[in-house]
Amino acid sequence: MKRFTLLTALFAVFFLGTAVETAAQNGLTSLTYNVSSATGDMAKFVDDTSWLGVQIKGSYFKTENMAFTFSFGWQVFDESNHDTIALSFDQADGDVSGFQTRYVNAFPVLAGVQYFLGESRALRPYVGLEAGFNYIIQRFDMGLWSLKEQRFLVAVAPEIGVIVPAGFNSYLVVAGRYDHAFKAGSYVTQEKFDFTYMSLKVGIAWEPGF
Amino acid sequence: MHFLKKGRFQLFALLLTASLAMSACYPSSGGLSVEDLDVVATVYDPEVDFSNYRTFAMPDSVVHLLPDDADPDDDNISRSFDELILREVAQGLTDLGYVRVLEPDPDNPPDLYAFVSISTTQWAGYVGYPWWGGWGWYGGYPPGWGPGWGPGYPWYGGGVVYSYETGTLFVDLVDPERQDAPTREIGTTWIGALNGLLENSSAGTATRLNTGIRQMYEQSAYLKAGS
Repeated sequence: MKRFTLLTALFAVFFLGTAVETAAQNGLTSLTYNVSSATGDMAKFVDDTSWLGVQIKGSYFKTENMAFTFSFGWQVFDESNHDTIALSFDQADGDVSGFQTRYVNAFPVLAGVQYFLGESRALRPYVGLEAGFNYIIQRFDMGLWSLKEQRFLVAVAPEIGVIVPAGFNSYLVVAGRYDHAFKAGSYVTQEKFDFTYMSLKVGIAWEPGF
Repeated sequence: MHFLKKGRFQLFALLLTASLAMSACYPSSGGLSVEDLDVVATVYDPEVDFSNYRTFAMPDSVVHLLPDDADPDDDNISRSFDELILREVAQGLTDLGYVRVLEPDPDNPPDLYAFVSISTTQWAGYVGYPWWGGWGWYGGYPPGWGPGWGPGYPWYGGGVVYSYETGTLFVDLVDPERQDAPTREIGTTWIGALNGLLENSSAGTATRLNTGIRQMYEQSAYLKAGS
């Protein structure tokens, strides 16, 4: 938790600096707190809601309505249980049970576009689509044993939200987002799956020149 | 300081942020009891129909598994729990409908033999702490610790040497009719294994053995004997 708070503070420091440097650009920088829930097959691995998530996004407006974006995020999923897990091998089947904890750390690094409705410095709904990669660290602990796999996965993320003026060239951001990282590489589980999760984002955004 | 010019400061902050972030977070780690570290695994041959079996026999001792080059006199595995282990293993099979044969006849052997064995492993390592005394474990990552295992967080960035012992209890169910003499392989139909951290409390160990052996049978519903 300490590391999470430290990172959030560093994000804010970095992008305050960015705002000063890019005063000449017509852009928007946002910092959001994300609450996420795994979907699809990922939810079979880790089902609990993730309350640890942050995302920083920079938007550069090409036109009044359309902006290019770059974002970096971090979402932590974890779940503990006493489930019995069925195993299947070439010539044998089995089961294993014990106190277990499952973790997924997801680091989406994406670029894309956003389309805003409305006028500048007013309430503006938007839709966006980003693509890039999601660095996934998957870990499974049971008893004295721990398995971990990490890999870069191709990812896409559509998003829909709204920015609300909050004064002093800043905005409140509320959005819903869906992250989809396509399966590849080695997993700690016998079955591979896409890492997919939905997020509710709440945060602030500010224009360059703040 | 020159490196605090806007561009470099942002780059520094971004790189520091990315490096910290990419090393991940495991919020549920820690705070586990010794019992939480027990794992029960069972493996069976799916081609075996256990309803064909009705009787079993068991030796009256637990085999201690030692390394090939070990001196038998160096066997330090405790025998304090042998009687409990054998009793629980036999009771579990009886509860599944099997009838125990106390004096097996070689000319008319029981359907299954249950063999019980134990092995132990010593683990040791070193953990160094970075100066900010925080999250990282360097060089050796024990995934779980029971109470009393946590070393301190020296601010000067020192390290701690740790050691602990783990044990595994095995229960093998062997069908004497499925042996292969040329390869000297015996027909194991089912294996149960209980793995955990060895502790000094007798009461705690006895409870964990009871729970673990029962769990072996609970997750093996297919093991039920024929009527």
